[in-house]
Amino acid sequence: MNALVSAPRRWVSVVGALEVFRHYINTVWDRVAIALYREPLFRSQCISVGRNLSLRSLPIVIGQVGIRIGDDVRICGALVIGCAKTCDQPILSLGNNITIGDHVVIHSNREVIIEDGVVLGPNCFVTDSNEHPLDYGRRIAGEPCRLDELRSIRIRRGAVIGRRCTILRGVEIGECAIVLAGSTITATVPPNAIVGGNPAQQIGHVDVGAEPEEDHRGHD
Amino acid sequence: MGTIEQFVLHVRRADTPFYAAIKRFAVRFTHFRIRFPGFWIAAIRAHHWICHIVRVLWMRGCVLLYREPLFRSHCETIGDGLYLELLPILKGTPRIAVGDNVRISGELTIECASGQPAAQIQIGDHVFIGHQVLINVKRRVVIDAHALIAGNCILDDSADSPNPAECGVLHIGRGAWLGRGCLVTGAVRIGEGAIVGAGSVVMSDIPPFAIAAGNPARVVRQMQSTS
Repeated sequence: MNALVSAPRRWVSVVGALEVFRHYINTVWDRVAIALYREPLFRSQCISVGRNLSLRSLPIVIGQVGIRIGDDVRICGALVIGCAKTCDQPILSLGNNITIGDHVVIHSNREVIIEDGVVLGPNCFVTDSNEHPLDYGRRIAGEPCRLDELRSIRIRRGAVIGRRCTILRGVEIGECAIVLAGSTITATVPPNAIVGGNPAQQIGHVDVGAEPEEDHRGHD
Repeated sequence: MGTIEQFVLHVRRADTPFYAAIKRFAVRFTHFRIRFPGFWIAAIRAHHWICHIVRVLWMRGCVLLYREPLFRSHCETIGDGLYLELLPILKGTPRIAVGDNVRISGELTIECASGQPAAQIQIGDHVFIGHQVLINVKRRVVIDAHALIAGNCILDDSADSPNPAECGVLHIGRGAWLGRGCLVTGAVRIGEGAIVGAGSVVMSDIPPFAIAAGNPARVVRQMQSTS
């Protein structure tokens, strides 16, 4: 009985050690792949990139989007940046200290501007066009959107966008606004507002009197 | 919890100035960047493009030799010019009819309750079905020609009723356009040329040439038919 119990225990510890070892090997391999391959490749696809860009997987860039990225931008996982062939030089501008979650899709056909300190949650979808024409005949003919149907998007400083949000064309999200998870934003969000729902409506207000606590902790 | 995990947790939280210093060092280490010469960038760009081309060719080969004939064998009738990317996942054995020039991008899942041989899916000509669409059919789902169904949509004709006799027909009209992440549930009829906004939940009929959005979806605008 003793032998029967001790053998699986030894086995479990071997498996656990192997798993930890595999994890460390994977992490190191990932860091090497990022440093030698993914980051320089993504940098070569951008117009300008600041210091301390943090990547996991290689962002997918479809079309000739002019990408400008500030300092301390964190892209946590898969990111797709796309454009249709409507505009000659679409712009995607990311400010400093931005966090972008996993599986985010940004379609910039004219201009998407994300300012400093914005947090964009996982599975968000940002587009500055309708993707297809609203007109029935043109849609069936498979035509793309016209230039005058595009509306730029601007996400102001310090806004927080929750998980699974959809941001439609022409939206401006005000400074330090909070968008709750799963919302569809169709209209401009005022500064310091808390909005949520589909379509997103204002349901609260951020208390701007409170000062943020100072401590010695750095960001991740 | 092991000592390594405990240590990592202390560093992550930056519990004391000592751990904060280690964290600052670790952040600097993980953000360490090498200034590469131009030939390295050119080499990895070339490698990236070659990998991309090989991947696309491999995928087209898989589709041509394996996925498309397999999906065709599952369908009752299927037209020409089908564009597939991945093999649609079939659960159950619904009767599938697909028209000409249909485009199915990414993973399409067709679910059908077991033991429902009468369940039927009809997809018209020139229909676009986006990435990761789920069609849950108990009785009948009809998608007319030129309809656009964007990614992450869910079409469900049962509205959680277990009895197929209580389920109706989910009908998506000609040239209708479902935005990204829509949920259409129950025996709903979406009219010709109607547009459903992204992330909407459709539980009732939508008239032709209407723009509907929200949860539950409401008509926000009515267009005139132009063609």
